Amino acid sequence: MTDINARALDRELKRGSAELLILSLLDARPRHGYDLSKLIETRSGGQLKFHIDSLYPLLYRLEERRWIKGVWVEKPDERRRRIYRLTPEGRRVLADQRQTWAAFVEAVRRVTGDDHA
Amino acid sequence: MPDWAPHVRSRLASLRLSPTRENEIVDELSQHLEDRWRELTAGGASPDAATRQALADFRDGDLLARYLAPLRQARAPAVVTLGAPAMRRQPLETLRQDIKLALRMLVKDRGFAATAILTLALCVGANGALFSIVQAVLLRPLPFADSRRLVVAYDAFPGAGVERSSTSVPNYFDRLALTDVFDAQALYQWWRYRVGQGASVENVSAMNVTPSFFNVLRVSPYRGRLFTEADGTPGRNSVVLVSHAFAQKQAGGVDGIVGRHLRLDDRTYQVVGVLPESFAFLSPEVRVFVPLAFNEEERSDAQRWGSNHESIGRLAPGATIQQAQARVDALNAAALARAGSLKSVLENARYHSVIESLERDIVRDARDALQLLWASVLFVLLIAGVNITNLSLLRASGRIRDLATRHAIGATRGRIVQQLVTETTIVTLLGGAAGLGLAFWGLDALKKSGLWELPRAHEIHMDGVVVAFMLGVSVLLGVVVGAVPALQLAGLNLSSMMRNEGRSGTASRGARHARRALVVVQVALAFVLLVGAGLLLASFREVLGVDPGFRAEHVLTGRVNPLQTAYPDDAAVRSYAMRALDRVRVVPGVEAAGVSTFLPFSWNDSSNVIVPEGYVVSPGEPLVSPNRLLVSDGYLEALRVPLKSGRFFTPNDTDGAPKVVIVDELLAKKFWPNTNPIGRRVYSPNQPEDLAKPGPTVTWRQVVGVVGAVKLRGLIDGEQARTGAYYIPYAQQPERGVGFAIRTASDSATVLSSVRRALATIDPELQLFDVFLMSERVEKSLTPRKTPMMLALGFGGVALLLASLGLYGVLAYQVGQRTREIGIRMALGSDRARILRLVLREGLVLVLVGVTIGFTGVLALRGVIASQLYGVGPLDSSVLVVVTVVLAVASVLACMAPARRATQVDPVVALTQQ
Repeated sequence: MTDINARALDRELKRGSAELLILSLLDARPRHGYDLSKLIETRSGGQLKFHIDSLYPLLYRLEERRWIKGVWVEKPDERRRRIYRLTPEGRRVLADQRQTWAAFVEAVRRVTGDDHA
Repeated sequence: MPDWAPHVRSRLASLRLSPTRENEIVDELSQHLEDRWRELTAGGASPDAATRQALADFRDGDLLARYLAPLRQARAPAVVTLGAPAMRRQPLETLRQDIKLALRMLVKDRGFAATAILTLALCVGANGALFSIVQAVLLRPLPFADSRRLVVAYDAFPGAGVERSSTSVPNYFDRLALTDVFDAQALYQWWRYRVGQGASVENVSAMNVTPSFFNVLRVSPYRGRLFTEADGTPGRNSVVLVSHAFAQKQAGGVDGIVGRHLRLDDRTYQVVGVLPESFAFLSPEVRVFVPLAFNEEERSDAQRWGSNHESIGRLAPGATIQQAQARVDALNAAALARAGSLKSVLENARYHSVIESLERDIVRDARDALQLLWASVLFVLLIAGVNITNLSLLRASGRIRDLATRHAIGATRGRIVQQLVTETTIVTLLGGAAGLGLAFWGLDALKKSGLWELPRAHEIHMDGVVVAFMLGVSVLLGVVVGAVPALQLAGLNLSSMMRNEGRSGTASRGARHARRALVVVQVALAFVLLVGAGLLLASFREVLGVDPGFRAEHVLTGRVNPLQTAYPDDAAVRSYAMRALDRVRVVPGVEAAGVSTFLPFSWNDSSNVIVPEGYVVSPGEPLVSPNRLLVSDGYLEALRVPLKSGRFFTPNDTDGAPKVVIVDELLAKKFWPNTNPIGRRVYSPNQPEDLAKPGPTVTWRQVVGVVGAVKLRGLIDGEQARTGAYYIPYAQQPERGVGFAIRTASDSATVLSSVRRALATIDPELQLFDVFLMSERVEKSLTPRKTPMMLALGFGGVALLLASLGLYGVLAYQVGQRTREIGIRMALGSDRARILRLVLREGLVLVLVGVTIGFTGVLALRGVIASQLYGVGPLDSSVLVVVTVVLAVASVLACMAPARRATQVDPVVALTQQ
């Protein structure tokens, strides 16, 4: 992936594929928001970065859609943290979308490749 | 460590979150910022720098609020995202989002949007204008209560060439007994009255009606009362009802006119009522209604076979036209049985009465032409739809990658279809709205042009039904136009298509076939329309080529109506006409002048049975009732009607001179096929017995001349024209209506004012009305053909343009797609001429297929247009050839630009291009 910051792609990712990214990250295990943003950033080699003001609205949206569920976890002497996990519904959506995963990759490759044609 | 809460809270302020929810979000985001801050300081950043950097993750001030706003927790509906199933979202919000996106796409793709909107505006506009007309004239019920029950009853003598006559007074009175099938019946008669006195005299359109007339139509008076049965008694019918518009202009106005007196011709009438503003029967020009009153003689059996009143009725509840027809047939049979010596004459004329729906009868002459035009304009709309579908297919194939990407990241096919349909529907709705404006304008223009004097023309306006029709058509088009490419995409494997598109750079075979098929459809439809328009044009040319039998140029015509009081008898009327002619003839610029009771193309026609001496009627042969014209000397000369043999009338053919007659060649041929008519005698029967053996009361007239046949009712006369015409000297048989025909040397307009002055010197009260140049009358008679022909040509032109555009679009796109292939061909040695031929052939094959299909369409539809044609067959070969050539030339032009572009492909560039 090159030049992920290309604006059109950025928008597209945040709208569509970002949901997929988050679902797949939560598939492995439950995580909190900061954890998710770090994971995305490090795994994309710093190219893909979620800002706080787009990450949380996205999480809340997925929650409203009942694809993920957040629960408050409280530890002594710490601020409570909200941990998100995948719901059965979310798992189904993820499975659905993974079927078109190859196409997705191809699409992203084509879109980004096109920018440099 | 900084307190993050105020930073977060200030960014949530605008959202109206519940306090609990807001606290939760503040907590969660604060934790995030804190984690970040810790990480930054652990990495060596100063606390201040770490704070600044952590907070920088909030970009523009309100981005968080904006992203959160669509969420339900912010008490707003959820945001629409591409790449997720749409089922959960509220449809309205989805639509709003779709519309936003669609508008953005359309602004980006202005070329497509503008072309589609313009095309549609034109077509929807034409459809709207025409549908307004069709709606008012053919579809909307007449503006009377329960109007479907209104019928007309008329007599017909098809054997004598009269398909539609009116009816007689005794027939009407007999039918009044049929109360089981008729609720009410009435007679009416078109009339003109001179209203007022002295200088303020005006000629107004009027109707003489039986008092039951308004009862049949179920009209209530606006002021005053309607007619009562008593008003229909001879001697007591000096009352009048006036139209709202008329009352407004009279002394007293609408509210004060009732009770006042009005002078009509030379009698005084009392105004008893004002009709509602909305009331108009057949024509809004009718200003006054006067009751018909019949005496015993007029009601007697002797008057039964004269037809001079129109009859309308209202069917009884539950009664059908067929039942009414059967009852009237029975009455007619009884009357025929009493007809004695006339019986066989009437039977030969195939006398019968027709009961017909008033609505149908009114539009009798206009229906076919209107339906044909409506069909053509729908064809044009269809072509436009096909054109836009094609454009939208082209556009969709350019967006396959975009759509496939969306599909890949989760948008369902339904969602993509919905998005495309929203886009096209917005386009078609915008086009429809613009079309609405165009339709208003077009309808206005058509109305000003006289709308070829359609029946119910005054009712034509754009109503809610028309607007709904137009917007409905627009939406329907939008859905279809959007759904075709969308379904085509949806029917394919989008992800494989995306790869396919990526590799080859060409559209899928399916899409290409679809586009080519659509071009073929367009060409076929355009061909059919052009052939239709061409046939109408060819017919019109034929009609223009018809010899009217007279020279219309420089002939001034107009009428006067000497009234009973001033001119009580024949002698007075005759003397007026002769003196008037004397004065007119000396006006400078006048070459010849005459009077006639029946000016050609003026509708004040008259005909009467005439029989030649010794003529043996063959069994079953109907009597002929040729056109009868009472004309002075100078009349035939003024119109330059050619004299075939004998002589014209002279000033010596006076009342006291031998009774003479001039016949036209049609009549001469019928009565004396093998002998010279000059010197032969004819008579008009005064009673049925005269037919078998002319009695002593008949007037014999000797034929002194034969003239050429003159078209009297239009260049294409009906059946009646074929029976011919005869002319009687006006001085020997004067009638009250006097029409002048004045041939002028040059400018008729200046002569007209001199003629008016000359007539005023004899009687200032007798004003010339119905003033037209003869050539104007001819011109006017052509409007019912000319307007539809012009409209059809216009539609044909639009169809041609659209089809050419469609062809151009498809070829241009294909050349663009095949740049690489063309480059290879050229690199391999193809010369430019060959490339040109390649592209041209591609286009012309489509045209050829389209024309072939169009031709089968023409074959199938030839019966439909036949009734509108004159002098050309529905498969006229020259029209077919011309249309094919026109279409071919337009197609070559449309193909030329893409073909030339193809020849300009630079192989090097084409091959290195990805």
